[in-house]
Amino acid sequence: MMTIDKNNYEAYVLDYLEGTISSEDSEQLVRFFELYPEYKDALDVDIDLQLKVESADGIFSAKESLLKHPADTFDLPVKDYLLIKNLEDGLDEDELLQLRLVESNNNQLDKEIQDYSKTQLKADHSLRYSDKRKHIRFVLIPAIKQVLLNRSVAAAIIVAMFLSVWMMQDTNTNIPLEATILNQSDSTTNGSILAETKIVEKVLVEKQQPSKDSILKLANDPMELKKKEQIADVVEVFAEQLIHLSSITTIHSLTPKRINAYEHGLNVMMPQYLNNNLLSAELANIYRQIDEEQKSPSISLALVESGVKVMNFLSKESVKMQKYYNEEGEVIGYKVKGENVELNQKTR
Amino acid sequence: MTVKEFNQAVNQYSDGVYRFVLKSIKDEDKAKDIMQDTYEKLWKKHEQVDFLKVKSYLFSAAYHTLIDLTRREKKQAPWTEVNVRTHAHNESYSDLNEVLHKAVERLPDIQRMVVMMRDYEGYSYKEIGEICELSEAQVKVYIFRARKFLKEYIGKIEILV
Repeated sequence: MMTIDKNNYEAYVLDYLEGTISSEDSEQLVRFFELYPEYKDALDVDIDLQLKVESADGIFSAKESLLKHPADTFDLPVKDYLLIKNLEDGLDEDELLQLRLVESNNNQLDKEIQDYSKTQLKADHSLRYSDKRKHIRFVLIPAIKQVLLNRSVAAAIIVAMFLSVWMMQDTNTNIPLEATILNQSDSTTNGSILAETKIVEKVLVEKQQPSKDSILKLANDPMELKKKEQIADVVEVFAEQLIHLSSITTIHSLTPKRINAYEHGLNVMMPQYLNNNLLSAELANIYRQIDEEQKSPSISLALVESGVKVMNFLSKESVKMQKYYNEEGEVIGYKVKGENVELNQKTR
Repeated sequence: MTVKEFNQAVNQYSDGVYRFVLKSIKDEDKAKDIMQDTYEKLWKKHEQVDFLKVKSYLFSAAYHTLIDLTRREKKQAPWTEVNVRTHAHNESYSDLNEVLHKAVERLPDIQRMVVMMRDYEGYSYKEIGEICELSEAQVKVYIFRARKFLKEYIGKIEILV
């Protein structure tokens, strides 16, 4: 127990300075100043107190137990570690000596070394990769690297795409204009001002789907529609316009721009013709076939059957077809059932 | 690496990589798929890969594909599924080698792979570490522990025989 405290430590300091302090008290004084360094700093004199190592009592005797062997890294016994190291990397003189110390029996040691040598794998060189040819690459043009070639081709494709889009836009905007000598503007006084009008194109108005009857009627009597069109094309001419037209005394002829009739016909007239005539006629033809097949239902069975197959192919078996047979094994009717449709039809 | 060097890498190293892969997964089709994948990876980067390091690159690519595959499957194919005659047996093989291969199959994946790289290809610890993204010390530990296991396994079988 420490007998020195803040009330009496100065007496011990005096003993220390006079050299009469005992070794026990000296140790206690050192510990006291370690605990309360401020008292040491407050002293007028500078004292240097240090504990002296006087005996071997303080030496740690269990050092050996703390020492580690490289084998501990591998969690292996020293002998196994040395034997494996001998196999892997070879041993230096110290390690060889250690091994002799661990295993003094030479025969046993040789056997152990031999046992470990058996753990070395040997490659089976008869085993070969048979698909080497699949990985072999060829160079078409040795001077040009393949990556560069690929990039060039990709760039060329992109440029070509942009060019084609640009050209399409250009052709759409450059609609040919046709000059005409007719001027319908009322504001013209001398009649010499000329107007330019675009080539009149028939605008395809979104109509409702024509009925079956109208299509059949149109297909049977196309002239009737033409009559209607002629009637519709009659334009009522007012007296004011007639006066205006009669007031024009001089007519300046213009040099009209040439139109590529083939191109005009192909781009403008052909779609209209197809839309007005061919498609309607084709549709009417289909309706006629259906009517005929309804009159002879047995023929339509094959059509229905193939239609069901197509629908099932496209919509993953959404339509079911059931056939009915008579005693002779002939189909006498069928039933088609889908999500939104159900049809019962007799064939005989 | 040029195309010529790439082709040289195919001819020179594909057998070794294939053996390594096949011994690891014991499935010929999967091994060929991994080979395809490995060389495809190399082809995509062949301009950046130095020919002197192409062998390590190939083993590394194959190793990582193998690790991904084994992690996905989380189970090894049983030994009975292996075509023993084709893959493990050779006329020159002794009984000891068959025992050794059975023992190798029982090693953990990572230990088996590093031992194979060490013995089949003669890679150093450092090279194996680079291929498998392990430290040199880790590689050494795996190999030493694997050797201890193999030695004990062989010893037990020999006693039984």
